[in-house]
Amino acid sequence: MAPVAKLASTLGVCLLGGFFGIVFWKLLTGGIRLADLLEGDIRDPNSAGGYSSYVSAGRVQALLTTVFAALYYLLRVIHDPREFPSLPGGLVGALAASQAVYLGGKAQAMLLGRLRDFLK
Amino acid sequence: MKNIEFVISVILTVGTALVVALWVQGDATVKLKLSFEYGMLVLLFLFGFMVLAAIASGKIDISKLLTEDGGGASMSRFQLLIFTFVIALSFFLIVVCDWKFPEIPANVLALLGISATTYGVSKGIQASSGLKGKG
Repeated sequence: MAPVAKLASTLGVCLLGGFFGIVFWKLLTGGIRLADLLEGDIRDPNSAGGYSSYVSAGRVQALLTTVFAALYYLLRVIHDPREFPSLPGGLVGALAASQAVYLGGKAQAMLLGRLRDFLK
Repeated sequence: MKNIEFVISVILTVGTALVVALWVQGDATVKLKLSFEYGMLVLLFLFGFMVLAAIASGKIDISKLLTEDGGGASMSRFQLLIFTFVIALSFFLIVVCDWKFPEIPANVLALLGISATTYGVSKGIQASSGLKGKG
């Protein structure tokens, strides 16, 4: 490998590692706010602002699926970093379904509100 | 001076290019090529380092990277960040390991597509509801 290519890869590792490190450090220490990550807004005619907050099951399952898929992929790449590993179709399908559930729940909460209020 | 880091980066780049041009053995074409390569490498690294240092010191504020207008963190932004990081890190590891541009499987593109579409649709839902809610 040419010395300039070696130097480029070393500097690239430093920059990327530094960038990932800073973002994760800020995520862990609260420098990037993660408050209310699992809370969604729901249309609420009884509230003064027109909406209120609730803990969303759709967000919880989307978070778990995302973390699982991301860790699975990263571990496969670290295990064999010669090519992009292909993902099982089932995992991609599960991820798509999970995001669809999250978006469906969000759309229902923000556009319609609670079903009991909607059916009144 | 307002942008002293920028001036220092350019001076270091020119200095590196000069040192390489003077010290490397070979004909003028080789010297020119190497000094340009090392100069651009140093310049790109220093620009990247300036951005990193600014983020670390808080000069570039990324505390609201995942925050929506309503105030809370956004799940759609968070998952987009996670998947972008994972694919970028994987891409870099593969390039460093094999020194060639890797083939990207269709399902990896699908993964990124699902992630980005979720963010886009989430913003659309928020806009059509008229609420400044969490994403």
